[in-house]
Amino acid sequence: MKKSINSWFIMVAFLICQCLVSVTAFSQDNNKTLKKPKPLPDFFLNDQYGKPFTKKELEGKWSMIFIGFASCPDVCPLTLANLEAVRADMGFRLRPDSIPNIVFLSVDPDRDQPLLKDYLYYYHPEYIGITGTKKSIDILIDGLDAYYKLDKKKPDDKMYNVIHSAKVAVINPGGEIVAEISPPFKAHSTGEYLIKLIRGIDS
Amino acid sequence: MSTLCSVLFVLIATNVLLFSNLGLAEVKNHDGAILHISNAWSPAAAPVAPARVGYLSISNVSDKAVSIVSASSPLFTHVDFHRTVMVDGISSMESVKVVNIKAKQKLILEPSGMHLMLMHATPDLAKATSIPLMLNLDNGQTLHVDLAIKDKRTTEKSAMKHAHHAHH
Repeated sequence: MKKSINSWFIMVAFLICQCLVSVTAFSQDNNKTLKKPKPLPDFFLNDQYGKPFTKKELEGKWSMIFIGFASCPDVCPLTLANLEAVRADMGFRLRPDSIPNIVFLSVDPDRDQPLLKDYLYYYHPEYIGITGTKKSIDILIDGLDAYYKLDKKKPDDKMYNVIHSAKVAVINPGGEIVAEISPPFKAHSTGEYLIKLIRGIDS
Repeated sequence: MSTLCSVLFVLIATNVLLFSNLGLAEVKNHDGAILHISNAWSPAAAPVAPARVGYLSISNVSDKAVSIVSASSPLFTHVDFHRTVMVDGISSMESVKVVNIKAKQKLILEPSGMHLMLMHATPDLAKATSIPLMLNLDNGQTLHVDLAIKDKRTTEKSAMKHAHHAHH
């Protein structure tokens, strides 16, 4: 009698574990909608043309902000290209002014400030690049719940790598973070998710 | 009789040449590495981009492990192997000093994985349609590869084509 109870117990325990694992696997999404929109803090940066870029510049339109640096050979150019593919996909189902703008936050102002304009223009004439002092950048980084680190091997290191969070923040026309999308970005599925967000459809 | 001798001579000579070549190739196979390169490319990027990237597939078709100890290009001052690492949503790169490829194995350098980082381009890159690359092996051999520069606008066009087909 005892033996069979033990077997039952083990089987039930296993089934519970299996369910938990399956639920985790399915909910492990690249797209995360925040339970409550989170307002961005006030920040003071400049765009690639040297003009001020603050929270005001984000209002009235949807935006996608992501962190990067121009010396990045692999991830950042890939993200730029993939997000453009997502926007192109959305273009078939959304009005042009509803498609989120791309805002590239460079966390490497020393190297990037002089070339940000030409770097982004190559990818799309409407891409926005923002950067500023470390203090100013850190305010927005904090507000985005993002992370970065300039991995300098010595003080005068010019070829350092930059470690940074890869998620992209989706900002609504009220300047609030409503979602975070993470790579890999698939043109159609990421586009679908963003369209539902923008149209206010519960997914 | 003399014709026959001539013909035989020619036949023997041809065979000797033929087999000697094969022999050299076999000798090469034994103590030299055979790497087959395919799908060697570099995405086109902004002219001001401080670093470019190279991707390729390397098949070690020999029966001995091979190592790539360094790489170089006449169009860049620095060429290094790196690996993109993504842990808990944080993206980073680690340096790969020596690239080891086991016998009969294929190593793929691709976006978000291992890649070649090409730094400090010379002015000649502006007009280039491909990037010449030299891979230096541990056996002293140098492999010459051309990375085809591919325009990202092709990716967009494909994405739009794909989106169009999915439209309902």
